[in-house]
Order: sequence, then C-alpha cells, then structure tokens
Amino acid sequence: MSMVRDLSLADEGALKIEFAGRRMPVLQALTERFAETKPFVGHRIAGCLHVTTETANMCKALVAGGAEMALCASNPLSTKDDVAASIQRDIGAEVFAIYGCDRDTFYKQVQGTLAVKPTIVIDDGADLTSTIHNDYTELLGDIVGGTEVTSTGVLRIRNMSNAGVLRYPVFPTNDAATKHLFDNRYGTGQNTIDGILRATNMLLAGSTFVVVGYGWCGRGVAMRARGMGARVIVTEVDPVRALEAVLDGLQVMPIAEAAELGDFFVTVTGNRDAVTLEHMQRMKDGAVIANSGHFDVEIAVEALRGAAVGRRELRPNCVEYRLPNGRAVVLLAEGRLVGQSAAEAHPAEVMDMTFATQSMAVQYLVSNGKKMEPGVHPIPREIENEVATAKLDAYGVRIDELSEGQHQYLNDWRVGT
Amino acid sequence: MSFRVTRPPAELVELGRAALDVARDQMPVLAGIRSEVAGTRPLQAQRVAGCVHLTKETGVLVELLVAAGAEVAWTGGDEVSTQDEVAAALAAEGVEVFGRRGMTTAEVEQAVTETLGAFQDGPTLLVDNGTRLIEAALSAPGTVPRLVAATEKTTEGCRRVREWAEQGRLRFPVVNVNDLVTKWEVDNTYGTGQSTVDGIVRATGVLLAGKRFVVVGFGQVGRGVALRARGMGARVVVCCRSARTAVRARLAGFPVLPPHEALVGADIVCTATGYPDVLTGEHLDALPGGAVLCNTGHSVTEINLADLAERTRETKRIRPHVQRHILHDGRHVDLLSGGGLINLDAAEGNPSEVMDITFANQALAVLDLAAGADRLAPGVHEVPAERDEDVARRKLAAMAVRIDAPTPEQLEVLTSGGHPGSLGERSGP
Repeated sequence: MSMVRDLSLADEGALKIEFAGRRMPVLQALTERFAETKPFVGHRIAGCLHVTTETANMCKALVAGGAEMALCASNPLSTKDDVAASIQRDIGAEVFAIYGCDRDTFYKQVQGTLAVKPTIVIDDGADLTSTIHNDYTELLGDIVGGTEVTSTGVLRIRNMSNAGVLRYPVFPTNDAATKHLFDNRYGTGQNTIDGILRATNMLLAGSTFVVVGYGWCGRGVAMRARGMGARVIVTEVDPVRALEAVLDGLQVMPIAEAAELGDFFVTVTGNRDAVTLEHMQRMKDGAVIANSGHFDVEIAVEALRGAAVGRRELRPNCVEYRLPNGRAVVLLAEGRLVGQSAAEAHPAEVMDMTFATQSMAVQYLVSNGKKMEPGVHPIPREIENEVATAKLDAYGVRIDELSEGQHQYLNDWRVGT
Repeated sequence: MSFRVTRPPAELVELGRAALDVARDQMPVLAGIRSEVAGTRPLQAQRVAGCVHLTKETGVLVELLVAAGAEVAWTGGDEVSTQDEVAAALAAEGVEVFGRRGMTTAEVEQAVTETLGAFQDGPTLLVDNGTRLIEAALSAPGTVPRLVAATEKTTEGCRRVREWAEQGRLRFPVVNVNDLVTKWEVDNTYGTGQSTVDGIVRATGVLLAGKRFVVVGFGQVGRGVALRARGMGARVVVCCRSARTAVRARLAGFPVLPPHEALVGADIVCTATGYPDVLTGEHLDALPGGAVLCNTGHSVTEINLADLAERTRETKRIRPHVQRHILHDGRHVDLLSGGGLINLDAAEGNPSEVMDITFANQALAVLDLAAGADRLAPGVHEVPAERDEDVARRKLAAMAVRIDAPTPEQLEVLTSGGHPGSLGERSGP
C-alpha cells in the first residue's frame, strides 16, 4: 500500500535516523515512557510532515506508544527517500512520500494516508485538515483531535475555526513557546543560512542581507546573517515588529528601497508576494533570492519566469534569470523552503523540542480530546514546562527556584513600592 | 606521455566557459584590473608559467593575464583539484594547460616540469603556490634562461624560499603575496571562518546554537572560526599558546581556558593552529562522550590520529564526513573529514569573492614585476603596503562603499608614521 522510492535504501536511512535520535534526548525519554504506558493503543494517527530523520524519531515514539500510523510528505522536495524507506520497514508506519514527485502523486499520497481512518491528525501546513473537511467528511466522526506544527497552517486552521467549519479540537504546536522560540528562530535561522551557503557558496561577510518579515523566523534569520558578518536590513508591514528590529540594531526600510541595496533576500512572511517582479527589476545584478516561509508563494516566481529573457542553472538549487533590463537575479530552490531543499531542514536538537511538545499534545488529545470543543486550543503550560525542563537537563544546565518569600511576593497584591 | 590538454571536446569547453562566466560575475576586483590592462597590454612581452589549483577562480586570473598580453602556461599542482572543464576552456583560448583531475603525485610533478618547459625560451615570470615551480626552476636553471621573478602565495612556501635565499641558492626575486592585510582578513579570517562553520554543519547537521564550541588557536583562522561560531549561537571557548593572541581573544569577548579545562563539556572542538599534535591523548581523555572533533589548520597532523586510534575499539561511518570512534572506555567521539581540512572536504573551500581578493593581489604583483622586476635583488620581497590599500580600495568600490579621504595634514601624519596604530602600521599575521 505504501509509496516509497526504494525499500533497499532503508539501511542508510536507519543509520541517519539513529544519528539524529541521539541528539533528541527529550523525545527519546518520551519514547521509553510511551513504550511502557502504551497511551495510543487503539488509535490511528495520520501525519502530513516533512519526511526527515527527526520526523522518523517522532513516528518511533508514537508507534512505541501503540499507535497505528500513516505518514505522507508535506512537501515533495523535503522527502529523504532513504529515511522514508526506513520508517516504512523498521518503524512500521505506512509511508506515502517520494522525493520530487508531481502534484497529482502528492495528492494521491494524502489519500493513501487518510485510508488509515485516523483518530488523530498531525499536520504541517494544514493540507490534511483542509482535505478532510472538504473531501473526506465521513472521517470526521472518528477524529478526536489534531495538531498543526507550522504558523502558516495554524493561520489556515484558525480561519477554518472562525468560519465555523472546523469540526475537531486542534492544538497549534507552533504557538507553544517550546516550539516557535526555538524551532522558528534557531532552527530556521541556521538552516536558512546553511541552505544559502550550500546552494551558492557565496561569502556572507560584508554582504547586504535583506530579511523580509521579522516574525520568529525572520528574527532568527537576521540574527544568524549578522552573526556570519552580513549587514542586515529588515522590511516589515507590522509597526511593532519593525520597531523591535530597529532596537535590535538593524536597518529597517520599505522593500522597494531595500530591493536596490541587497545582495541576498530571504522571505519569511507567511504571506504571498513578499518579493514581486517589480522588486526584482530594481535589484542589483546577481542578487540572490530565497524563501524560508512555508509555502512557495512568497516570491513571485511565476512572474519572474514569465518576464525572464534567459535562464541558466548555475549550481544545484541555484538558477539565474536574466531580466529584460539586462540584470540577472538568482533564485534558490525554485522559491521553496531553502533550508529544506538545499540543506537538511531543522537540526535534530530543535525538532526534539517541537516533536516532544507535539507528542505530548497528542497524548493529551487521546485522553481529553472527546471532552474538548472543536476549535484551536492553546497547548497546556505544563507540557511546555516539562519539555523545557527535560531539555535543560540534556544540556546539563541547572537553574534557580523561587524562594518561599519570592513566591509570596509574586502572589500577594498588597506588597508594593 | 604528455599531460598537455590538446583539442578538448566542445561540450567540455562549453561547460568550462559557463563555469568561468559564473566565477567572473563574483570576482569584480579582478574584472576591474582586467579592464584596465586590456587596452595597454602591459604583459605583452611576458611568458608566465603558473602553478595554482586549476579551479574556475584561477581560470579567471589566467584570463586576466592573457588579456594583459601574456603568453600563459598553467598547471594545477595538485592530484585532485583540477577542474577538467576549466582546463578545457582555457586550452581552447590558447593557454598551454597541463594536467587533469585524478593524477598521481609523480604525474603532478611531470605536469609541473612540462609547464616550466612550455615556452621555447622558458618563462619570464612564475606564479607559484607552494614552490613547485620555483623549486623546479632552481634545480634546472637551464630550462629558465630568461626568468626574471616569481610570486609565492603560501606561508610555508615563503619560509622555504627564505631558506634557499639564506643558502645562496635563490637566483631571482620572489614576491610574497601571502602576508597582506587584505589577503589575511578576507581569505584566512572570513573565508575560512565561514567555510569551516559551513563544513561542520554540512558534515554533521548539528544545531550550533547553544553548543559548547572550543576553538584551539586564535590566529587569523581561529579568530574567523570563533567569530562565526559565536554568530551562529554557539557558546565559544578559546584555547591558545601565545599570550598576544590570548589577549586578543579575551578582548573580543571569548572565555580563554587551558585545553584540559576547556575540553570538559565540549560539544565541538576545532583546531586552527598550524602546529602538529594540538589534541593528543591526554586531551582526548578529557573529552566528554559524543564530542565532535575537526581541524581547519594547516594539515592533517593537528589532531594526533595515532593517539585516537590507540584509544579506539571500533569505528563506524555515520555520515559521509563523520567517522564515529567508539573508545575502549565506552565513550564515543566523532571525527570529521579524518582530521583533514574540514572546510575543503565537507564544504567547498573559499567562495569566489574571497579568491577575487587573493588573486587580485597576485595579479597586481605580476604586473608590478613586469614593470620593474629588474630593480629587485634575488631574495624574498614583501608587497608594499600601498598595494594592499589599493586592493582594499578596489574591493570597497566593488561593494559600492565610499569612505573619506584624509586631508593633506592627516596624510602627512599617516605617511610619516608618527602615530602608533596609524593606517601605516600593518597588522600582520
């Protein structure tokens, strides 16, 4: 039933999954706990995620807890075929993911995954959730709840909830502090730089690096670009975030002006048309454009292809488009997530926290989902604290505790100046 | 059998031309020099023999020498680094190219000999990288009857040339194009700093943020690695032997610790000293299990591999550049790139923009030599500081950065050298 490139790649995949697993101590501990307590027995989980070594380790935890699981890719370019093979063969989840497959196959994979008749939905980009609500409403009766890992997907599901169509409770994993503070900022921050270097091998020191959007991802990308010696410019539409960028010591200006100055452009807005053809026409010859937002809509790729008078593939994931004005822009990874396509997505250390948070949220849904209203619910604070405490332990870092007096002070409204 | 590249296939030439186009776009300083010399052709009467890794960036330098009027013969001087498509494209332009990717060491030497013998009356100038050509010229003076001078690009090469000069063996002037502020800063510090961090991430995929990252050595390379690792969020600790560099590291905000203390709790250790045996058995014994070891210094000797092998029970390959050593006491450490240069092995070495500066220094040295080498005595010569300023100014122009000019009074202070720490004082290696 499954769809993977080649099961004989599984040995290679297994080694990589083990290597990543060693750097996911919080999830490892959860896996051991789930294996003992078997909280997911009788549950069927459908997942739509980037098929990477870290996702494999989360599948391992859920399957260890007794779940029956099916998994498809949330992005055809991020699938690691060897990892997919090992999840299928060694971990025992049904996998529907092949690197670089076309759109039709992609939707067949979503269908294949939903054939498991899920009780729990784990989503990344809300493709499963929206497909179920549009085309597979007969599945809704069995579903106790879902999780959504990325900010773009959370936005889609909130829109569904506001429109009154969402039929089960969803935990927005992205909104957990143990997710977005680390995954979005440090994970995307590093893998965006990593993807740009692997795709171009250009020197960042001394370059002008434009970060379009200053959310958690944008903050991380800006911090790391500056750390590599670039001069960073931020563009924003939100005045509070723009102000934060200014006081973080960064230059802020409209994208139309920044377009003329940048050597590198990274879009991290979660919105469409962050960099338009008009912006590209103002850019310097050889400017590099990449996207680190979830969907490939942030850069006007189609308009660029339409307007271009020449195209050269300079390196893998690195295509130069010559514009009618004589200048060229260089588009990385076809405008898809550069850190996923040109590098290796998030390092295991951050996915440890994201997937530990998510696995605990799934456990919570299994126990409490039936009692919860349809809608988007915040992840319980105890889950965040438990994940952070376990991670600090793994780093060997100890922290202080409030004294009795401090505790009283914080809880007593009568104490003042 | 000759290693001369003759009648290369058209597809290979096309590939090489495309690669050169890409490199040229990222080498604006060389482009500027090229446009200045293309009209005047100051190398018209020169025959230049070169021995520098035959990459697309080197190809751009060779094109410049040809545009300046020189006849050029070239070889890569390395077993594996020659890019055949670049060699093909240059050969198609009339350059005498010798060698290919995948030669034995003996074949590399034969290609060097052939390069030196490519011209009927021998070369007038040598462009060297590791003294292969210079050494060949010294041992067979009959092959180079018209040789006037050479340039040398490596620290180690310059040291050897100085030795030959002291022994009275050196019969021509050699310009040291290594010890320039622009070269050191851009190439050793920022080029290697970036490619080292890049190599570690490509090899391991680890998150650097929060990692305890020990940099051993805080010379030009160590400083670049420390800055970039900190920039990626690592908790960086520095170890060094020189008091001067230790002060420099501390004032740059890095904790400085002796190795046996720094290594306790280390997640990643990177050697960048240029000395052998920087990490020996006693250091390996102090490491926590799971530590990552790598080297970006001069050669493969900085981590004592014999000491590591002695402590190793078994090894397994975890990822393409990661060898896991499981030690007798049960700990494991991950050695990257076999202790060789992580930035060249797991990443791609220096970006084109970096080689732009390095080769601009080299091109200007060749032009200066063509204009007045007869005034130089045999021996090692430094590039004058003004040339360094000149290259820096060209780089600023390429980045569209404008600066102030000193007033005549300020200029007098600068040139009289009256103030310590003025622009006239160069901070060398």
